Amino acid sequence: MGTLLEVRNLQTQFVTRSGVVRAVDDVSWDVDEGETVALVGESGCGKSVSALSIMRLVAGPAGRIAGGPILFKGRDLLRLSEEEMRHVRGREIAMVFQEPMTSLNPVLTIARQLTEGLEIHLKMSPPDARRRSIELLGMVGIPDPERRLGQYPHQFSGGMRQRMMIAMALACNPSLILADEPTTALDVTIQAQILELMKDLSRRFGVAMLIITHNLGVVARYADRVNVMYAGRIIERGTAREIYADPRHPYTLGLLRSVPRLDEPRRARLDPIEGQPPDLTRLAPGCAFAPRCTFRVERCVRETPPLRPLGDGGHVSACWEAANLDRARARSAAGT
Amino acid sequence: MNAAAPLLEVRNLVKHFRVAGGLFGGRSGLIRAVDGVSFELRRGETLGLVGESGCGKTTTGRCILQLERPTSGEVIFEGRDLTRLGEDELRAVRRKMQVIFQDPYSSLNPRMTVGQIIAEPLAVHGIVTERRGRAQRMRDLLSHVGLLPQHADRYPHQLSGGQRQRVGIARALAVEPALIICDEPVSALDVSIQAQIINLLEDLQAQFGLTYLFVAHDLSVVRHISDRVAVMYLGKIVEITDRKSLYDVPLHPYTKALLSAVPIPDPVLEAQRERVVLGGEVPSPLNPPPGCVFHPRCPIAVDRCRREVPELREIRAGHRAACILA
Repeated sequence: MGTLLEVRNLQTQFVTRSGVVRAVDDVSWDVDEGETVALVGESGCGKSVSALSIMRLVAGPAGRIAGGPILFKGRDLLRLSEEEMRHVRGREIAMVFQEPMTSLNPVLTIARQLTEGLEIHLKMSPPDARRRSIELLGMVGIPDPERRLGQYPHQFSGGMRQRMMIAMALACNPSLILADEPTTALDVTIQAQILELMKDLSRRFGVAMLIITHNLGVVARYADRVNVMYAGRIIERGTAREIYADPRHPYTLGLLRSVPRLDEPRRARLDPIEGQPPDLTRLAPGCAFAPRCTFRVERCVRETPPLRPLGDGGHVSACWEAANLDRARARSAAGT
Repeated sequence: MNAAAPLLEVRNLVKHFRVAGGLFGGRSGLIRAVDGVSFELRRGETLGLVGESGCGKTTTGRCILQLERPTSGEVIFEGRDLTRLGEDELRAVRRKMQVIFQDPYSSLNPRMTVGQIIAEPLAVHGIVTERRGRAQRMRDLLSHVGLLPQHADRYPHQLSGGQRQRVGIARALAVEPALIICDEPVSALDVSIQAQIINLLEDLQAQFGLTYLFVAHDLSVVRHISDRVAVMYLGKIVEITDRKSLYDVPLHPYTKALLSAVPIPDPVLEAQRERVVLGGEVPSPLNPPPGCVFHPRCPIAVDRCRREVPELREIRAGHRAACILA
């Protein structure tokens, strides 16, 4: 399968009163056609800004994209005119946000919001667009779509609104959907429904997905490859199996160990990552995770570790101690 | 006082909200937010109260604190029924019951320093009347929750989410309460910080003999922290038992579905896992379904479930569930 999206050396910065924030700092990753890729990390790690950069929705003048290119089907999105970019947004790359209520227009009917894209991007006639809208609502599991079309977002429940967002995203048959925390605002039983729906639709229509989330549990079942971000950088990448079974960055390992798991015996104490995420305006030299890292060696506070391959697959880690993590982990397991 | 008596006993708690038809033609009627909830909380234990949004778990907590006056039912705390007390009497009782909220940012006064926020309840409740004593007690509290003395001069917006939640905990601890209602105390925090706060809550419980009502939607966190767990659905408790029974042998189909919806961070296990994906959504508490409130989404519902309201009955020793098929 070919590469659909290739982000190379992306740098997105914000100028603030307390200095320049490198929200995304020289980050490269890609998505293959039809593939589901995850960007995982905590608040402020740069995962949402990465998605906004692809859509060129980073608000200036404070925000600016310094690096690149962002190649989508071979074209550099950063060099497109505003007019050409409008054609990409919604038509070729669609977005699903965390909070559907704030991304839907409260004073327009569902019908208006669904048909708008179809009429603008696909030049459909109003009756055709309406027919397609009914089909889309049915596809995402909204019962009684014809009646629903005349309603407003506030008449939909949270789960239904997220289904509606997915219908809007699918409307113009995009080749990539960027889903930013698509289930975080939803209840557990609804989360499962929405994720199953997204996975099913992506398989059926061959749409590639970028899932952005802070929850490692969410992506285990759905992602082919996982990128873990910390303080504006990707610190580990691999297939989902590699990341979960053989994490090679202390941050990934820490994230996996800090959450209580229903499939494991209950532990007497949780194993948190101590300390706080760093202030991006005041990053010290060296590895950004070093102050919180239990595997820290002297080199970590001097030199920033680059992403380096582990073995011959695609598994990479930005840790000087990546190769020793196994032994150290075994030691700590034996010690506890 | 009888040491074996529960610290808190909630009997048939009911809270209905009356809603009027709104400007946009919303329906009017009665929201049955809490609809006959009973449980006990023993000294020093943690009871987890889980359920999805709108199930009434937060309202239950607010009714215990008398922040909402219940429509009916009793809330017996240290032997006294709080629903019969006036505001003056309640003020004294509230010293013994504190609350920690989900979003510490919106529950901390942005114009007060951390030190002032923590010292305020000491003055209000007349616990430490002398100023210097309050400052000392405030510093002790900061250290109990893992903050540094210099944090006392900061404002809430200068702290991270995890640090703000520590301030919220310190303020709750200030009045030396017996019971703390923790309402989703970690769900707004980053994953790496959640574990820090949970460990802190457990340490403080051991150190000060606290009793927790832990209201949350995250079943993995609830299993970690709770001694017993109650599962709520649409204003009712559908299952209640000790932690081990609930997670090892869940009896109610809703509990089973909730457990199976929790994602596990392991792709190999996830691929093998049988998943019960519940159809439909939680019905409106304005118009709950007849019979068992869960029947429209229940994978095993039979005809009787549509007619009969199942009572919460003991199915195994110490394990109660509201399902006629359990």
